[in-house]
Amino acid sequence: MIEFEGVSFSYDQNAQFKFKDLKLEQGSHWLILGASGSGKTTLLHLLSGLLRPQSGNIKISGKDIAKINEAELDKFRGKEIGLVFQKAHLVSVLSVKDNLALAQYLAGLPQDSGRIKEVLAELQLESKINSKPHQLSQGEQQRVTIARAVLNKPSVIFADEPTSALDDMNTEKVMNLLENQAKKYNATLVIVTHDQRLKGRISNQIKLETI
Amino acid sequence: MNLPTLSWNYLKGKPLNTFLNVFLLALGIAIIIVLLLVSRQVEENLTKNARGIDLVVGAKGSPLQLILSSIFHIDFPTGNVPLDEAEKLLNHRLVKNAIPLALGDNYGGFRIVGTSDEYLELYNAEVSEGEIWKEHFETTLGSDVALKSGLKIGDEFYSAHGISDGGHSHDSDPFVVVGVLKPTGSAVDNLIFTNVETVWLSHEDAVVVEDSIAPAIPTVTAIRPAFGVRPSGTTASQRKLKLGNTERDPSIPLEGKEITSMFIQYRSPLGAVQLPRYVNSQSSMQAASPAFETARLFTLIGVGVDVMQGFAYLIIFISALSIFIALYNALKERKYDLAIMRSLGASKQKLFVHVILEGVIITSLGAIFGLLLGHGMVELLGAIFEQSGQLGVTGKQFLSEELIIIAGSLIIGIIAALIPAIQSYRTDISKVLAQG
Repeated sequence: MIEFEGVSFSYDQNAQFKFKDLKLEQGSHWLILGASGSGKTTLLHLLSGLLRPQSGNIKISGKDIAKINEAELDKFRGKEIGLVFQKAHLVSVLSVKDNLALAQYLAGLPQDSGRIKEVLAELQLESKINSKPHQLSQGEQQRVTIARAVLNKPSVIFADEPTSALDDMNTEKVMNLLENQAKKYNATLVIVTHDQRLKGRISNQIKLETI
Repeated sequence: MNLPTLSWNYLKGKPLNTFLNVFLLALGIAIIIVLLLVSRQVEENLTKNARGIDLVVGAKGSPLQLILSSIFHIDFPTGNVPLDEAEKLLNHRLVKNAIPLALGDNYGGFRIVGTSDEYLELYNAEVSEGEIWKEHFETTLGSDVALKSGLKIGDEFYSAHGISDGGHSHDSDPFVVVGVLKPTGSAVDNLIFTNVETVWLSHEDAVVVEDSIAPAIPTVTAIRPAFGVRPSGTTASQRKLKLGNTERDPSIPLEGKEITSMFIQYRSPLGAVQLPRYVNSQSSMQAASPAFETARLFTLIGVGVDVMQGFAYLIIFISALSIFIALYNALKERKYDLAIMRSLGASKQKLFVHVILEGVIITSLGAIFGLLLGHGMVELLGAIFEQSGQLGVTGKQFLSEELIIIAGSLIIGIIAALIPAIQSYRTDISKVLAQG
């Protein structure tokens, strides 16, 4: 359950955002659409606590992340929010396995290699467990970031343009994975995109207007 | 996975950079360790060797040379002094005791010293096997001499002229080994002891040849044209130098005989004020104070040590700079990593510690390799150069100052990583992630 009430944010005088109130049911899947500059990424960063709003409440699983302090927010994000970005952004010096172990460690959870293997198996990445990110294809790298996002069984998964750098086949794969994984853990899935290919897949859509 | 492993993985990702930084720091630390160990050990050793000797009296020349040759046996003697003139000094009221030394011969590079057992008492040297020298040509060996030359009790050997290896061999009477001393950790270990008369006897027939061949090397000569034969002029009350461990051999005439130098112990502290001036002005001899001369030696060496030390600190400074530059440059390519780590739940403080740890790991490695390198170099120095071995230089000694070096290098690591760590602490995650 995500609740969004009277949230506003501004980078400076010329770029002020005032968002509509939202209420996303636990386990529902959403697309946030809009042209460049309409505040898609800003909204996603507000939802995941990477940005703090000027005013308003952002409740995730009952917790108002606009009100808690920074250290608590970091911890909450690690445990409850899974993030997927347009580029894979894996830690280049660590193997696939260690990248996932890092996610467990930074979230303050026990390091469980059984869980890591389980998630990698679900995403058909078992054979890459000891590979370094640069040894993987782009599609594989994106799948690893999905593995990393769902590893700690978060209650929400936020994805920022997860498919815009991928071809049709990989887009299909990545979207299937995101939806299946979200379903499996009953996580709320929010995808920010301008990728037209996704419009037919998810019916819950929020359109942001350019100011 | 934890922060140290994470930091270590980043360092492993740039092996050449890491190697360069570790090597630079290790080099700087190794130089400091070498300087520290060598100067400390040499100083300790010199002090230990000079303990109990208030004044050394010998031929005029460089006082430092007199000290080095007589006490530490690492330089050539300044020359010889007449026995009767030296003996007169023994009767000075401020002289408690005097020990004569006659140098001039070696066996395989080990100096043969003509003296009495009082010399051994100075260093608390004890016999481990056999006995001390008594008759002419009887010798007792220092522990290192026995070990390195392989001579055993009962063995006979011929000495070579000069005090270092390779001189002309005497072919008159052989020396015989009657005892071996316990190790003392002083110059005694590298000496062969016999009585003063033996040194005279072994040179009597070779005098003319020696003087013409090697005038620079002082010898115990029987002929001194400048002084001629001196009147003995002794009275019954006069004290005599102990030339060996038995009564003086009456068959050897003492006229014109010489010794190389003489150790003097004062009867009272007043000796330090009066005796050196008395000797230097009233006799053909000179007096040198071991304490004063070793202090002077260290002021001379100190300049070189200071320069080397400055150089070492410069290297350490450059290594700190190099670590800083490496971490600072890496920040650009790592800002996504850092932002992602924040998005995975890492606090700002954790990223700060993560970067600091990288600096600390490099400098810890540098400190460890520096210590190993430094001690290894000192040990090698002691093993390769006979003279540094004689001065008791060993890499096996650890000083408390080294803990300060280790702590210092950790601090350097923290300082070098501080600015990059603050930058990572301040990473604007939203901005970085929005860029792509």
